[in-house]
Amino acid sequence: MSDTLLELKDMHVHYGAIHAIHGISLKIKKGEIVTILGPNGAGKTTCLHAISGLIPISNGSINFKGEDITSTPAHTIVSKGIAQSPEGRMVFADMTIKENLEMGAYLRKDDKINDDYDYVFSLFPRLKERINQPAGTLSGGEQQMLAISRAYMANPELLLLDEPSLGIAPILVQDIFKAIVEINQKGTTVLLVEQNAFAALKIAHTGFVLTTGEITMQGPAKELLNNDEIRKAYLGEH
Amino acid sequence: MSEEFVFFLYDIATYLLNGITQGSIYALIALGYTMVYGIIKLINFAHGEFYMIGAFIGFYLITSGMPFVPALLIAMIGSGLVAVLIEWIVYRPIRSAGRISALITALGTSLFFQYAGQRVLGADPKAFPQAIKVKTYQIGEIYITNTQIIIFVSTILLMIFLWWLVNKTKIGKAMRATSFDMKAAQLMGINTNQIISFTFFVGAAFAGAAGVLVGLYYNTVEPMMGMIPGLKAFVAAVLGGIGIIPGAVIGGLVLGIAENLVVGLWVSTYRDAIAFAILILILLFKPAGILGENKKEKV
Ligand SMILES: Nc1ncnc2c1ncn2[C@@H]1O[C@H](COP(=O)(O)OP(=O)(O)OP(=O)(O)O)[C@@H](O)[C@H]1O
Ligand SMILES: [Mg+2]
Repeated sequence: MSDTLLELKDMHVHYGAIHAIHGISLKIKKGEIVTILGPNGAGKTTCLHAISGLIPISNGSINFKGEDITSTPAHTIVSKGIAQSPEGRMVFADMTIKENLEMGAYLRKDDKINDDYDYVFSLFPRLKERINQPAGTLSGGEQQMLAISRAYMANPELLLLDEPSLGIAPILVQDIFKAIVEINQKGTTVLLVEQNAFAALKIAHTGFVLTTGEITMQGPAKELLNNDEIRKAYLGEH
Repeated sequence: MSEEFVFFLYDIATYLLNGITQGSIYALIALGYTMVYGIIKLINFAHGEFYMIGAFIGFYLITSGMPFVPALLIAMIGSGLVAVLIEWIVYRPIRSAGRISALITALGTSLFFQYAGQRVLGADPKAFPQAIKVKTYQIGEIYITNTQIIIFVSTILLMIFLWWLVNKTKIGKAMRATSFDMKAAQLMGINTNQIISFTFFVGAAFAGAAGVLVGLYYNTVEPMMGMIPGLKAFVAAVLGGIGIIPGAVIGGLVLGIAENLVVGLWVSTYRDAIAFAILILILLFKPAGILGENKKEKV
């Protein structure tokens, strides 16, 4: 048995005439935290949208646990074991925290659901205190916690996180990254898209750098963290 | 109090009662407008036709001897199914084509039903059978009929049902999630196409119920009957705040009462003008509608 969970092969994505992803190939190993770094407009969100089935790919293939999921509709992808916390969080603002989490568990019928509510509340006790509050009244950081918890409630094997640190107070970013590590150690593979390269590489096993739709660098996170080019481009060193 | 003033108050009470009856009908139709708009941002101008279709299903069933309640329920299901079909055949293929195309398509669909209805069902109004014998009750000088009471009670029951559906059931929560953001809903595993079909179904079933109730109230049905009430229900939905479910109820009642007060106290020929005067005023002064506010959403 291979330990590859997700494999992209020569994946291309177009938005009309715009060629946003120029053929990327990558493998994600079961159990890892993998991070995709890259500047604004590099195509990170596009990649995650393609994996989740929100946008069609124009060429190549997406393989999950040995199964071709290339043109599977988004709602079915969730049932295969891939959940996403999208960029900008997209929590259901007029629904309560509890209802948001229920939506995360929308497809589940197993009896472990209650354990998972307890688990996300142990990760983010703030959410429990506000359980009946509309999600729109939460702070940005709390909404991010909710978005991650909501995706976790789908009980995914692969959790996609799109810029969880975006626009959030540094102290909350720490909490969130700690929670990501915990979720991973509990057995969920994580694909983390980040602009905060330093924080992401510190918790990741493997990293990819995406620049204008192509992978320009990849390797173990520790190596990338020490790579001069990366330090210059993303870690603000000159 | 002078006797004249007492009679004036009785008059007002009667106008209010008639207004609430009429308003309940507008509210039932407006709910579908607002739900469909909430979920796919489509102003479904064919929505009034579901009301007409419901009225005709009710007409044929009751004429053939079916009791009122089962006829009402079957008419609701029938209108709902027609709407599901229309969404699937007509609206789904053009969902990404932009709002203007959708609007024009909706107008075309509406005309299709009006003229196909005249062709198939005949253009003449048909007498709706008296499924329930009309009784009039008198309280002081105020008169109320059992038909009016049936309309109030049915409307209230349907609204309670809708409230429960949207707030307490899984599919209702999925409707709210889908209308908030379709992509986010899909990321939850929600099959948004199914939810959209279901929303059309429920909205049209409510319009169908309104159609049967109106048949009972005014004793007549005809293929063009959906046009004016459809437009007024649209005004009611905008008045309450389009996309907001309680707004449709408030908008419908306000419109119904306003119409009846104006007709009673002023001139009856202004009945249909009121709705459009209200539409213009609301668009000028509070385009978001009575319940519409700036969405509180943190960026
Ligand atoms: N819906 C769209 N229509 C057209 N072009 C798009 C669309 N979405 C993204 N793009 C383009 O595709 C490219 C990749 O965008 P994407 O959002 O994937 O980048 P990103 O790496 O996530 O950026 P950021 O860090 O700002 O979130 C950009 O050039 C963008 O303008
Ligand atoms: Mg992005």
